[in-house]
Amino acid sequence: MTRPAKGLPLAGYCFAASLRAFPRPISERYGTEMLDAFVRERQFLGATEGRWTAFRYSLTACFNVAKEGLASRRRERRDKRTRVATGVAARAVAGTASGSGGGGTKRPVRAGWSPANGLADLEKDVRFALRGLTRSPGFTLIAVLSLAVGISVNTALATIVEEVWLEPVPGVPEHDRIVETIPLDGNDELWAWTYPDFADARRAQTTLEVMAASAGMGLSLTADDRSERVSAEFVSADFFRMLGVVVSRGRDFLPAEDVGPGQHPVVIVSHDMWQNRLGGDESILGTTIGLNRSPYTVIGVAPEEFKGVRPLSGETDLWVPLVQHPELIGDDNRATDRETHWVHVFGRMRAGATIDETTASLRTVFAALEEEYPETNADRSVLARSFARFPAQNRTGDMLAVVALIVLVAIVLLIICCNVAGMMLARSAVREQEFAVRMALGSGRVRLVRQLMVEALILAVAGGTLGIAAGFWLTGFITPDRLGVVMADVSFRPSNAVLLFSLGLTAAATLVVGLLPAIRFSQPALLPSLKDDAGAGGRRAGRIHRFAASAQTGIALAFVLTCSLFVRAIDLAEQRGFGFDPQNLLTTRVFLKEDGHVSFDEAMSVAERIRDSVGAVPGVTSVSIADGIPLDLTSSFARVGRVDHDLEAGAGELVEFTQASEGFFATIGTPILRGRGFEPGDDLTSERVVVITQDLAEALWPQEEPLGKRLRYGSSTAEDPLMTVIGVVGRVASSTASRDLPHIFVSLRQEFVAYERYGLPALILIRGALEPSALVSPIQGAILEIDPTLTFPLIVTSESLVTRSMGPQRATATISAGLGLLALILAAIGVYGVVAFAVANRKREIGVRMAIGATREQVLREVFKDGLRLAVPGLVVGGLLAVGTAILLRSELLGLSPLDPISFGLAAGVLLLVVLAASLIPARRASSVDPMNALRYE
Amino acid sequence: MSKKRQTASPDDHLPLSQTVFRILLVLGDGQMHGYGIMQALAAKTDGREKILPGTLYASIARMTQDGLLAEIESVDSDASGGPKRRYYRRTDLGTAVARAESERMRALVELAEAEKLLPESGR
Repeated sequence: MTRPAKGLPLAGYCFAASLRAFPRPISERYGTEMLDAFVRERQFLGATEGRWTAFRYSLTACFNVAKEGLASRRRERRDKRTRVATGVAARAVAGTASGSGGGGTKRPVRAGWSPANGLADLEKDVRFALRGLTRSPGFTLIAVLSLAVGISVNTALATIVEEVWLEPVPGVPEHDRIVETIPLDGNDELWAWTYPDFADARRAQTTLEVMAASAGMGLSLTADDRSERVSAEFVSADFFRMLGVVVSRGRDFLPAEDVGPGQHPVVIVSHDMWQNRLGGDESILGTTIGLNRSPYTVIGVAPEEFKGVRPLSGETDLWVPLVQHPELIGDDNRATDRETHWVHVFGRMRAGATIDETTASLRTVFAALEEEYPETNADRSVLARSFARFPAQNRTGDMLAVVALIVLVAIVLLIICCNVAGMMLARSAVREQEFAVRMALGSGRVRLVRQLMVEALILAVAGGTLGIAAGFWLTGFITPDRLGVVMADVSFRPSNAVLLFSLGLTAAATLVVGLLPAIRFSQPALLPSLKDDAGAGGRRAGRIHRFAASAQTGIALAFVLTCSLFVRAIDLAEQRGFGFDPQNLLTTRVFLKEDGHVSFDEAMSVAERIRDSVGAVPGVTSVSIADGIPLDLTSSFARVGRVDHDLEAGAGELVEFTQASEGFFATIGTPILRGRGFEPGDDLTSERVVVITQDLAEALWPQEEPLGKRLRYGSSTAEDPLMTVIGVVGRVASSTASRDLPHIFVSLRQEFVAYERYGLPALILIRGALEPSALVSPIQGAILEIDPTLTFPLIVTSESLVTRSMGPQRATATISAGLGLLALILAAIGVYGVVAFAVANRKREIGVRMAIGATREQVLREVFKDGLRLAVPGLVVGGLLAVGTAILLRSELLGLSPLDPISFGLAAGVLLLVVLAASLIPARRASSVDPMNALRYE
Repeated sequence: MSKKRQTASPDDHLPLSQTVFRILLVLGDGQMHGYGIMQALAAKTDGREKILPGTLYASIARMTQDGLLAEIESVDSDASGGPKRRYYRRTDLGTAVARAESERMRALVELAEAEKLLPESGR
């Protein structure tokens, strides 16, 4: 064989490869010369006519050599056949003459196998398969496309799984030496450590070289006279050392900065924070920024690639010593509180230590703690887990979910393969006779299997190529934003490992697709197949195949039903309304306590000035202050009851409650049914008042006048637990669309205790007469006019709140619609495959029936019935599955019954239509059987 | 290629494929290696006629088999530094076949002239 010489141009290699098209003797004899002639001519053209001509010449010459080579092969085979024919004839004559009986049915002696023969055979198989596939473009297209869908979904999922779960946390070297630790209460995982437990464990001798704690918190950052919310991580001084992360500028925290609560106002900022928010100035070190109105000195900048220990839940903007955490400052701090769990603990293992050893050594510490503090630390234990992008808490559960997803998607591919195999079966049912004849004539079983495998291989390679390409495109299309999750530094780019995985899938698909028909058809019982076309292997497709088709209709029903339930639920919720008018209602949050207005009176006065200032903006019709509005996903609950109710014992009603100022109901557009709303006089000096919803009034005082009644209020923040009902409003939506609780409204001016403790995340509600977009910047201006250092107010339309509040429902509806569509298509293909196979096998029977008087309609009905018989078991199981899912999701259905007959009817109708449509083509084929043709062999 | 099919009559080979005819013409009475044939054909026809290596060697293989060409193993390696080459010359049969094809062509060309398809030649 011609081996290209070293130093050959790329074109030379292509040419040398194309040379293999020639029969071996020719390529061996002339290959070197041909290659030499090609290279010289190409060089000559390159020198005289330029590179482009040389390039075109290379292409033409390579193509030409392949074409001539194949032509030589054909010629050689033709010559051989002629020789064999002449030889056989000659031998036959000789045999008869000698009387040695040449009339037996001996198989022709096969020529010895050689790689060249094998290649030629393969080439023949490929050409044969290609011809067959191009003859039925519909089948080929569906097979290739459905394989492509299956492989692309797998590729995309593999990419996401690799990126999200398998890649290490960016910017952390030697991540395999880092562990995350989870305290246990019995067998239950606790979400964090108590501070004193951490302090004790850090002092103890364990396999951990360094232990560090962290607690995340949102802060208000002020720099350049602007404030905004940032995500901060309060960390012990060893945090960066523990991770092995070295600050790119400035210095790390000092050990001294781990002691003395509130005495170390220093901060390390992230690279992005420094570049984007702080101007990227080299002289950043030593400057002062405000965090919740306190001055902090910037001492360092984190390296660019390090985005924090939880990159999946967003980037960390800055790091502050743990001793600065509000929980550790002040009198009732948590430095000694062994019951409140709030810090996450990480550690760096000593070289050579394993995670199990670490768990064991930490457990020794916990055992000692249990002895020392039996009241708080009884039954407490700890667990070390590897450090990864995904938080260690509940990682097992999350991993299970991921594995389930992977299995599900793999099953989808398997189902697709079964479908394609089914279609191939249906197709080759017609070819059963051909195979039988070929085997009778001595064609080897191996050869037949190989031919079917080649067909499968071509389909799988085409589907795989398309699928991998689509999968790569899909991963480019899926961004964390589109997935609706906040992620820092996650981009989905398929890696080589994923590519390898997808190629493996393609190979597996080839096997599954090819083997089924190959096994089935490489051993047809010869006689019946030769005699007639009623296949010997049974009239219907195999059990597995029927089961697959039935299962698909079931899965499709489950998805379609889920989708229709959620669409109906959203629709009904919107028709029902939310008890307020979201149109032209804007909201914005101001952080009064964080922005320095610490006392209640001061905060109230700033809030009132903001209200007046915003109220003066042209186009604004009313303004009010509250701590929330319906559907804003921020919930406060309380238990309320009549005076005679013992709330501790669980009597009364669970309600959501909202603190609101005067004008609240007018602003959000909720009509007051009886009594009155809040007035400026409802303050600390007057009687505590409450407005309740109609449903609560009916629950507590059925058939009585609620106005003036006294309501017992379970929240411990109220000094006087009794409030007087002053008004009743209609039903108002809860903080999320899926919750349906009665609601009480209390006067903001009477809630000072709550403010002093928790701050007032005041929501300014603005109803405008103009387009919301026209009001945004005037409103922002009006707010900052009162206090320019307030955190920049973001304006949100309450229509977007409504949309967001039904986000889970919409997401479920969209996802199940997508999956449902996919499942429907797959089910249709599956049913088609099975029914078409059955029809192909029963052609003769149908012909006989038609010959003895069956009408076309009867035949059609028969085939449709076959399709339905196939689908019904799947539909029943799928329906039950869907009912189960719907009941589990009941709370998300916004009050719609999980057994909603309209949704069920719709879904079942869609499925039946699809099944009938899939049976249509085979049914028409069956009804157009020509009885004469079918009976010809009788 | 030991079994050479020596056909008695040159006419059995007619009509010749264009490539075969060109190779026979270009070789003349001399001997050439494959790349030489490609170059000579281009030179003798002012670059109008070209032949690609694949076509050339497929034809050479067939012509050798049919006895139109004979191979001469070269003794020296090529002066230009390429691999050792085989040289080809026309066999007597090759010459006879080329002649027969040329006459067939001439008859056709005369027919074309009679049909006034060709401009008056300077004869």
